[in-house]
Amino acid sequence: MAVGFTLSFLGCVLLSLSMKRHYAQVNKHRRLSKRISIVFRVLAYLCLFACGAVCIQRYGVGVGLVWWWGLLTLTALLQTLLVAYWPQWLRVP
Amino acid sequence: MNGTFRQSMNWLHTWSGLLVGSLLYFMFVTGSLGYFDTEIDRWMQPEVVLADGAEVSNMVLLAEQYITQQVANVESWRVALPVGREPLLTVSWRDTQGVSGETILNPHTGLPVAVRKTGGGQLLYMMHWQLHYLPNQVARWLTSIAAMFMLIALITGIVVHKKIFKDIFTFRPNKKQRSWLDVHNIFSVLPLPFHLMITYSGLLFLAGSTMMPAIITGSYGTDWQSYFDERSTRFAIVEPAGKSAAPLPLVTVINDVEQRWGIENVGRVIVRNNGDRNARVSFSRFLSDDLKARETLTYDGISGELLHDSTAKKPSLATQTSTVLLALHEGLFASWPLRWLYFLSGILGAGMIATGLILWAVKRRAKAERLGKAHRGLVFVEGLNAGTVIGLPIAIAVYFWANRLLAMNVADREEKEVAALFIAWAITLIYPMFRPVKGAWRELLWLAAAAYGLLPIVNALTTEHHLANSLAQGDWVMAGFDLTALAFGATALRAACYLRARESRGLVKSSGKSKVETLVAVPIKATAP
Repeated sequence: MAVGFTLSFLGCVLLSLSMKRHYAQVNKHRRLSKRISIVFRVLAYLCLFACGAVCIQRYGVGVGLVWWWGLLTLTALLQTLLVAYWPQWLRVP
Repeated sequence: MNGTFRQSMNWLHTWSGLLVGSLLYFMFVTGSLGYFDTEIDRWMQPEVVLADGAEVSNMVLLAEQYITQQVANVESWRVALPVGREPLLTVSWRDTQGVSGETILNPHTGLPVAVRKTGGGQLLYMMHWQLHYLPNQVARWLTSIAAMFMLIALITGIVVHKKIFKDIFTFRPNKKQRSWLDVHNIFSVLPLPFHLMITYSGLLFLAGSTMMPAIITGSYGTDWQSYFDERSTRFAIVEPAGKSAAPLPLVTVINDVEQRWGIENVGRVIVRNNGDRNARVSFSRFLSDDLKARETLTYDGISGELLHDSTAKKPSLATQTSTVLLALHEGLFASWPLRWLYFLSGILGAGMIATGLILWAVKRRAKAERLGKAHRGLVFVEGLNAGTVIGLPIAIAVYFWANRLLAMNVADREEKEVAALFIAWAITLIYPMFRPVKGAWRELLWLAAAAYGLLPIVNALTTEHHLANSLAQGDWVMAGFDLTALAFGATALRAACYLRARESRGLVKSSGKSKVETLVAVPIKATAP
């Protein structure tokens, strides 16, 4: 499930960077352009749903959904901590 | 309750949460530990000899040998096998006089192993709806009412939260009330599917037979047994014929199970009407990564004929729904990484309730600071919060300490362990009532840090399964327990240090901060008209 975790985490990072507040936290108060926001958001949802697809393909609908939502909870929590305490780690030069 | 819809929902959220908050916190904490019930069992019974690749069929035969050679007049008996997470090979029986017994066997030799008496993780797990000391019906009513309020608090919480998606990753540290609200939102929203599932399914199991008995009585009258029989896919239990017959050696039946299923997943073997012509032998398995109920094959215990296969009959849709909900709630199917995700969500749920309770007090404390006086109700809730949120984990650590420190042969050992838990909790609940609120939190956190941080050391001093040994042997259940205890201790220590640092900063900034606390003892004066 390393693939599922990676997809879910990547999705959460991208989703938070598509939001003005978190983008500013990471990129020293630079403004987020509308276009980048949309690109990030689309990529984020692609990652998050790909994670769901991987989970369901591996474990079937029932257990797969449990895996998916469990991973979403974990990675969203990690991203929340990351962006609050270590935003510089997410900065892309 | 005037005002807008959202305001009245807010009112309902606040008060339904506060009313049953402490009980819900207890249910979430002990229930979350229940996801590791057998792992905790194993830590609490370190004498157990591990199966380590012992053949399942051989263990069944060893159990059969023990029953036939060591116990007289057995009426029924069962074997619980160490497959999957289960660590023990346990044989239990009842004789024709109705006297029951239980022994733990060495899975390799079949000889009894002397194991300390303990309630183990099972007891912690069952506490989350049985509440231990209370009569069954009272406990069921209390927990179903609590679950109902939890569901109300969740739904109203979703209604009052204005920006669920926009604020999903938002945590603003060091902003007092704002930060508490952020944490409360994070703990509630991120595992929201889990919270809804666990509350709704829990409510169904509990309320179905307590709050809404009319649903069953309406169709079945007082004959509830036939309701349970009809729902069950299991083979109906037959009465003994009263004529004795030589029981078939299990080895023949085992061969048949082996061919149908493979024996390695069989977790339970039950023999009913032993030595009677109507003897029945059933083998059950529980598959992981699958949301199904336990599957059972039942054989005639004399002829060896297969009488019933629970997988043959398709259960009704209602039964399937309840099976899936039960499976989701208990998470028995979960492999260890998924089990940790379950545990994480459960602990976040406990954190959601804790931060909700704290938020209630922080809001009112801020108002009290402005007015210069604190209501008695506020002071009481503040004390209760510290004693619940930190006191309960301390009490559970005391339960583990008692497991290691009580003499092995003391009478009613398992009851004394639980008594230690509840006495410790009573003390930690009373203690904050006599301390200023900040001091109480800090001191209880120090205590929690010590209680969990020293637990691996107590383990090392009293058993051979200390961390160095268990890590070297790759015994991840033992090591995992000790490491988790250390992590809990470190978290409590960090929180205590944080509170101390903030306290000393606060004292520098404004020296009159503790004014309200001294005012608390003074009776609240009625404001002049």
